[in-house]
Amino acid sequence: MTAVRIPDTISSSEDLVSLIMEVRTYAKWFSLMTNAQRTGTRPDHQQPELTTTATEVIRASATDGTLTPTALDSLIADLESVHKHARSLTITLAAPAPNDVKRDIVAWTRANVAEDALINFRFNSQIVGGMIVRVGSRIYDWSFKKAIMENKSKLAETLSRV
Amino acid sequence: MDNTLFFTILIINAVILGAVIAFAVYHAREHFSKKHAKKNPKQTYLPVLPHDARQRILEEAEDEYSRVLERTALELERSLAATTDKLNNELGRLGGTIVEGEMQAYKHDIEQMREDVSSSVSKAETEIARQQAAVKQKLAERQEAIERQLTEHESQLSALLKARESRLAEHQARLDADLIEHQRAHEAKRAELEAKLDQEIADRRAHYEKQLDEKLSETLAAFLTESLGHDVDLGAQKQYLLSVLEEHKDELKEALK
Repeated sequence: MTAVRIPDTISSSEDLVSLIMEVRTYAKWFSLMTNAQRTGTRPDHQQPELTTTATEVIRASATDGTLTPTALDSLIADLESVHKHARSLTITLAAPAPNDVKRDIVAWTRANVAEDALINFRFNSQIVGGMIVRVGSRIYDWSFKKAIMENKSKLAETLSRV
Repeated sequence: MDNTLFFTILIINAVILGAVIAFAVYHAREHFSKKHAKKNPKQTYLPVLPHDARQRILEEAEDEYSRVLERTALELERSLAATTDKLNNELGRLGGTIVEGEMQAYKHDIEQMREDVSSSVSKAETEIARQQAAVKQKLAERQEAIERQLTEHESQLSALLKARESRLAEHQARLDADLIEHQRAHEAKRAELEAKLDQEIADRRAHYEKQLDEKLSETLAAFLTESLGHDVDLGAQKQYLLSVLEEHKDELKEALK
């Protein structure tokens, strides 16, 4: 069980690293701003721009609606821990996956298979449709091409899904 | 036997005759020696006679001497003949006595020998009977021993024969079992080879069919890939993708453990 829930829009390890970087940048700025407010000076740095996902994560980390540097540090530590211990898998699709497809697949995976799963999406037009899932050294080929190769009698059925 | 006795008697006769001749010769010599002694008496010196007288006397003496000698010889010859006859008679009588004695002794000896022989024969027969009985006894014992050994050998041979027959039966059974096993193995091998051949034919056929299908599928997949290209609508596939994930949920869980 992770202390922080990864948003479904963060699918891959690279996305998580980017999120951690955003949170760190924000935490650094937040610390400077907090010190400036405490000392009564104006902060020199502007607030960094955050993605929607990063905003949601930082907002979720605030306790009682109050954001503190400690909460941010804790959030960063949790995110790094997730990045360190998360189980990853790679899904290859026939085309670059749209965001909604990626989100739905990630949501389903985290809800049904592993809560901390990180999914790297790839695409290969040669598989025509379906997907190829790689987990560690295991490869599950559920592509249309494989289905066509395995059973031509189901070709019509396969084509109907295209 | 008769010849021996005859020669014995002849030898005895010859010995007696020799003794008689020796006795006669001895007496003759004694006689002549006495005459010679008388003829050389004590040397006396007679008056010398005239030569004619002496010659006449000498001739008369010689004639006288010849006559005496002839008469003595005749007497001796007669006496010798009488003695010879007497001796012959004595010899005959003695010979008859001796022959009779010898014959009696011979007969006695013969009888004794016959008795001895009879006794010996009887003893021999007894001994032979005893020996025969002993031999028969030994023979019976030997025969009994032989029969006993024969019976024993027969029983041993019977046991050996039974054991050999048993082993032979076992060996035969093993051979039959081996033969059956070999036949079964042969049949199994043949069936296996036939199955393998059928399987190989089926595999070869399936392989060719698979190759054909693969070629067709590859051709079709290539066509589909070329046709669809990057225009694949993943949005339309989303439910299918989720259903595939749902279908293989357990495998993914297992892989992610």
